[in-house]
Amino acid sequence: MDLRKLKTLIDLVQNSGISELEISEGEEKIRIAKHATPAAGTTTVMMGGPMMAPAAAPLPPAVPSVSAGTDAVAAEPEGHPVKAPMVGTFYRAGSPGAPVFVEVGQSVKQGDTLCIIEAMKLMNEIEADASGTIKAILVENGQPVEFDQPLFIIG
Amino acid sequence: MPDSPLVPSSIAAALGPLAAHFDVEVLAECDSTNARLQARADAASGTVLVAERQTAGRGRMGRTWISDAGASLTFSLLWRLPAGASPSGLSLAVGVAVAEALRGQGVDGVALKWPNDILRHGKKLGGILIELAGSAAVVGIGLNLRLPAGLPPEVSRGATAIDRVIDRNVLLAALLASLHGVLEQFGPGGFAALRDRWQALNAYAGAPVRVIAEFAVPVEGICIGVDVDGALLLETAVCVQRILSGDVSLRPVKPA
Repeated sequence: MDLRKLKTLIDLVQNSGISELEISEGEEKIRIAKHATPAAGTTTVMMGGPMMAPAAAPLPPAVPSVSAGTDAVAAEPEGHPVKAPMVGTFYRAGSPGAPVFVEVGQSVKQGDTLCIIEAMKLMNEIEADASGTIKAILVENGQPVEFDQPLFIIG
Repeated sequence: MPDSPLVPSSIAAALGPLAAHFDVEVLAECDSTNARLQARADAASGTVLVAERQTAGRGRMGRTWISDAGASLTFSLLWRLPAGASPSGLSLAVGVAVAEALRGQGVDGVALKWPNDILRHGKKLGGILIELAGSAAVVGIGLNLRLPAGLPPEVSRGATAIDRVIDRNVLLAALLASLHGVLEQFGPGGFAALRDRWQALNAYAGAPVRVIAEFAVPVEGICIGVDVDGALLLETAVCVQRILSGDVSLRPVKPA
């Protein structure tokens, strides 16, 4: 997504009644949100996924294809998705070098710790909200995740 | 002069009426007070583990925290969030409690570096690590009382300590009292209720900073403070950017 387009989107949000806009394009995901505080009326931009670049940096050309969301869904096995309850960084183990909480194929019980999402140095243990077998792990260790992003598939 | 040992009754005496909210246990030696407390799933809110000597203290993502007997104060507090409360910004709120307690004890030059480093005259005095499982937050705090001799220069350069005779029982009681007040506010009001107090302690308020995160291009801007949820607000040439997550570090940059 080029800067001109980003600027247009920011203006669009700023001059509209909507408070938040999220757009996926290829591997890029951009969220523009208006906040009442601290600077009323200003628009802030947050980017997630592999493209967590500041707005001022040059962005690679957008990939003309279906949205990342559609791709991901097509690749996921059937089952219950465990979603991120918050924005943060995804970790599969409690500390570097420690064994990962779960592997694909492992069976888990509801309440078992699956991963940690870190935000502002708060380590949130994410528990399985269903019992079953881990069919897929959808996020790489150390990657940023968005609110509601599917992390695991339990089948 | 040897340090006075940590004694639960002395801590309780210094806490006064607030002692009823805490259950303090002193361990002579402990691998990690956070790990030990996390293992106690049924512990009551207000349970405190404090170690005379911590052998495997954990910093962020497993970085070791160096702790000698008497040279530091390391402890963990279990606190249960009220139902429905958001933990967002909890690490910043704890920073406010620690910094205010230190100032109250006459420690000068104390400030906070986003998201949760405790600085003294710009060097690291201590750190906070919070591990959350469900509604149970294990709040781990480590403070340097004096720097051990023979630290590698790369450590001693950026580190500092309280560096004066201080009764650790009194210091711990002051920290717990401050945490009690802050967490009582955080429960119902979230970080928003404490935001102004954090801003007053912001080491880099109005300063040009660079934020470095994994999977992202470094961002430079003016540190204009934090948002109501604790996100760092960086004013860049283009917009105000919210920094929420990732392995972010803040470095002051010299103005051009």
